[in-house]
Amino acid sequence: VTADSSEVVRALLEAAGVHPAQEELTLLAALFPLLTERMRTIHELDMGDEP
Amino acid sequence: VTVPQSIAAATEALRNGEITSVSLVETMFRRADRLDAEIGVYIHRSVEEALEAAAHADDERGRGIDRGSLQGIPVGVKDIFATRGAPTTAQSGALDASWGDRPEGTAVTRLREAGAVVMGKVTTAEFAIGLPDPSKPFPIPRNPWDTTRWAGGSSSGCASGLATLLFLGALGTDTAGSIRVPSSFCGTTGLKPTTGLIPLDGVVPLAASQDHAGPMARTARDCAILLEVLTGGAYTGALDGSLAGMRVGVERAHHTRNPLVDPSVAARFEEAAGAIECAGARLIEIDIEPFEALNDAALLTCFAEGFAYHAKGLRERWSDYGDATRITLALGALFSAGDYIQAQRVRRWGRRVLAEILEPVDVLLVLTAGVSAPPLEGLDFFTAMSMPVFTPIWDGVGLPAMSVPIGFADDGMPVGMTIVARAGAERTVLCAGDAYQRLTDWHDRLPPATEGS
Repeated sequence: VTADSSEVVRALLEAAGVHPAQEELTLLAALFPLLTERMRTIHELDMGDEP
Repeated sequence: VTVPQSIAAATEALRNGEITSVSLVETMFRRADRLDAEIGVYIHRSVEEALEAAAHADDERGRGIDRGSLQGIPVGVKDIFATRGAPTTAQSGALDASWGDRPEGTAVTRLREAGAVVMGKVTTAEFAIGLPDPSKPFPIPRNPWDTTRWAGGSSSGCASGLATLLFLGALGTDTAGSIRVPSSFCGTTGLKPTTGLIPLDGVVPLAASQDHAGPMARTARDCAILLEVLTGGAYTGALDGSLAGMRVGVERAHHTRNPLVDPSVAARFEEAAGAIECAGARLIEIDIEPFEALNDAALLTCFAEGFAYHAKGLRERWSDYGDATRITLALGALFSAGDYIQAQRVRRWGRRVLAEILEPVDVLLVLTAGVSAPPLEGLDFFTAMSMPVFTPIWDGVGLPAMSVPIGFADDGMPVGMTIVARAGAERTVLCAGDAYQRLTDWHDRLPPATEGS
């Protein structure tokens, strides 16, 4: 877990008005890079000119 | 009363006068008295109402009124359908108790109107997305084949109740695999239909663009019987038992590329495909190159739409949600608008691409999950997310997909295979599933807990 991902996760959740406990924030921050990795598969997909 | 093991068999016994609906319902409730404390199927049993409905079904049958193949048949309803005369909890302390006061879901009403006997409300993963949570006041859905393991989710009680013959049909929902995963883990049969085929009014939403209601049963034929009632369509007439000449696609890359797949589960898949080929089907190799991307697009959609629906609840009642549920839903806040829109582009594109890929085949075979049911001990979000589950893709693109049992993994637990077809081709899916089940007896197997009952 990087300090960066913890901060990003905290900021996103605060913006959404959701306030998890510290250990839950740590868990979500640990999951965040895994999610971003999985998002890469859909962002890198070549879909031609699909609108 | 000896409990018939399928809707079709029970209907025959009822019509022949070998059993009555009342005796069947009483026997099944007695079985629940014996088994349910350990298995965790029911959240609410509608004993009085069920016996009343069964007596009504018997009375009508006695007067020559035939409502069809569900008349007098006991069914379970996942506890996220608003159901007349029973509370709706979504297995959550965060759902307002008045939620279920709205009109009953159309799907439930259609079952009742066909004479089905609603036995009660059965366990679900919280809001159809959480995991078993011993800290909450709800039953833990245990797997009847090994009660130290999970029944699967989210339509947990539907599958475990069918496996233990606590009812013969069930109404589940599926947003990322919630009908098919527990069907696979419990050795039962479950169909996620084409998007929009069954009305979703009266269902607690998870991800509105991917939510599906669908039939769960012990056999494909029984799913067809339920689907006829749920949609008004005709399905059972198509079940001719023949696989001769059927073009059956087989997609292997989704599991051969995944190192987490249990080799014994992959072996069962090969045996099932082999049996289908031996029965006269023509197997055709299919490669869905973007399988993983389509699966991920569906998962992202589930998280993001789930968060959108629950954002207010999470802000105001965070601790009323179960641990895994609130973490899973909160993940939806971490995606950008660009991520979500990209996922919708992928789904739209995927529908078109899959229509082309599936053009040369009548049905496609894939694994439902690459593993059997996991132990409840240690089951957390990480474990659940890392399981090789191949179901979300079919929710994302909206195609009909039915899981059927194909035997047992080396650990002795049941596993399933999914049969997919083009949008609206439920008849073909059911036909292939029914024909496969005429060749095998995996769907007839009962867990040890039910022996002697």
